[in-house]
Amino acid sequence: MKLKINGLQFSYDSTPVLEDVSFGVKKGEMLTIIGPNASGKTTLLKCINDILTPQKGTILIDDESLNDLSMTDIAREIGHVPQAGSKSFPTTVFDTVLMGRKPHGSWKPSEKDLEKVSNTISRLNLEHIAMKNIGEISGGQKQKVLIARALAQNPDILLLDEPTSSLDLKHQLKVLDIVSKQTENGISVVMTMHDLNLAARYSSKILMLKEGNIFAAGDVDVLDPKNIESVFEVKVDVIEKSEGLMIIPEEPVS
Amino acid sequence: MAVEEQKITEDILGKYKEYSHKRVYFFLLSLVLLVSIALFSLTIGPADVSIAEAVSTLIGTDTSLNTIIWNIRMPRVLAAIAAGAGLAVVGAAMQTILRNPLGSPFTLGISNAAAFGAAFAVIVLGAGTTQSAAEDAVIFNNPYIITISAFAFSLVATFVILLLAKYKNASPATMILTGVALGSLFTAGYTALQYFADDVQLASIVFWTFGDVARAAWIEVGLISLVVIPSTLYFLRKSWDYEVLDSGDESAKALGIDVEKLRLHGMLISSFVTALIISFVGVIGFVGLVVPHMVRRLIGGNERYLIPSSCIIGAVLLLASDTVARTIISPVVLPVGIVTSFMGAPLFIYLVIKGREYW
Repeated sequence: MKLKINGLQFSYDSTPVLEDVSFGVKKGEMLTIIGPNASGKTTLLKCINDILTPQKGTILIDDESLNDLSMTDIAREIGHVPQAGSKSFPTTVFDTVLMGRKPHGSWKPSEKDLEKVSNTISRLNLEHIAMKNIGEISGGQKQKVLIARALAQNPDILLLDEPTSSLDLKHQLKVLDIVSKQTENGISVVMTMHDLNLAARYSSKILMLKEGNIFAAGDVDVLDPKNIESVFEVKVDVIEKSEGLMIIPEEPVS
Repeated sequence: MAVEEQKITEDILGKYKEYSHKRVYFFLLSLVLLVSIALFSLTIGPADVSIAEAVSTLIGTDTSLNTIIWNIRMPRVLAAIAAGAGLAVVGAAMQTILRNPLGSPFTLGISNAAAFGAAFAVIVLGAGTTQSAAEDAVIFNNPYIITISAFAFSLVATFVILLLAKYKNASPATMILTGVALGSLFTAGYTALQYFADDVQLASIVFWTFGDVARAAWIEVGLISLVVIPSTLYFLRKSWDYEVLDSGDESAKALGIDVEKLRLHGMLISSFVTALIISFVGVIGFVGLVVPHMVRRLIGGNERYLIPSSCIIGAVLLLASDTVARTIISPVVLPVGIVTSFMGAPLFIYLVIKGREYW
């Protein structure tokens, strides 16, 4: 198991957000965490990346506890794509992706870092905007740049927090194609998502969170009408198609 | 790697290197500009000195002008360079640390605290009087008491903010708001002291708050340089870390940066440099605020190039301002703080109008 989480508990002051969460992710697996707002999805990702420290539980990467790893070691193992970048001052796309090499570098980027960044930009087809200011590019391009930054970290695990939330349909598919492709290289992906159809289409595993607890976990089949109604309080119809499951919302449960 | 992908990779790398070279050329050109202005500045004054004579004196082939060049003009020129460089570097650093374009050595109330400290020294400790003299209308009885007092109160403001940052895990916004509140508090204290001052003390206080590099002799230049040079090297060495910090605390943590430690160290060094410069040369506004924005507009925001270029452009701006201050209504010499404020305010408004992309 590449990533293993046992009995994770986290609360903000006295408000519990995660209660006894346990699961594992294998090498090259793509796990999508779904759940309603405030179910603890983003908090869970932040705990995995050591941005937040859980009150209880263990997080293991290749059987090694996160507590035994330095911040730099963790950054070499885990690439994180936040919901939105928040750069205060102008910087180029290249310099943004170059930040991903920080965990591998010392005080300034090496020639190898520059080559790695150029290659990552090329692989994600961002070459036409490489020297543009990050403030001048579209939301879809920005998301791809943040994924490029995380890939430049050369991680074994990629965490993505709602990577398609602000994208149009075309860019949603493009971004998820890129992410999906990374699993072929052995990268394990954990992402949060609101779109159940995209989750069904791209994920190899689903984890359903409800009020800080795992409600259901397993293959895409867990996305059945009963589970979805219990977690999201919405009646849905699930149709099996050749491309995967199609989930059609019907009405909220009163 | 496919041949085509290899070609695209090399093309991207080539473009980035070209861009980086441009940023290095900008730094070198700024350096040439600084040396030129410094040489020109050495020739300005009551005694006529040509550039050739100034150069001869500097390289030691002509000793007849040693007193004018080495004892009178050089300390002033070097003080402007050191103070301008220091203020601009800490301005650039503070804007990144606080993730706020209004970050500058003055945002955190440090200059207000220094002004209060100077007023306290003049009125309570009796350090300043006015006298008639050929070169100055105001002479301080004991300038070191004023400097020490200004420095001490600057550090009080600094440590209040640092304590808040360390023990209350304060966000950059909280630090700025605390700085504004502290600034108001020290201004209130400064005004109260002025109210109880007599005419002579009042003149001394007002005169001190005009930033003036002429106050610095060799020892002050040495002390300022002793702090500014290692601080600049620290920020240069940590420039990649600060670049990452600007992408947000959570992103920076995810990229392996110890955000709290980095922010605390940066604040401590920036505040110390600011306190020292202000206590020696008085309040010099806008250099720390405007210069980093000017440099960002010209060469982009990468900290690795921003820090050294801000250092040189800060020195250029303050030295040029001081040269203007010495010549604009000659033989009267204006304090440089007045010129930087006159130049800085419109320049800042221009940058605000042009710089919409990031504020």
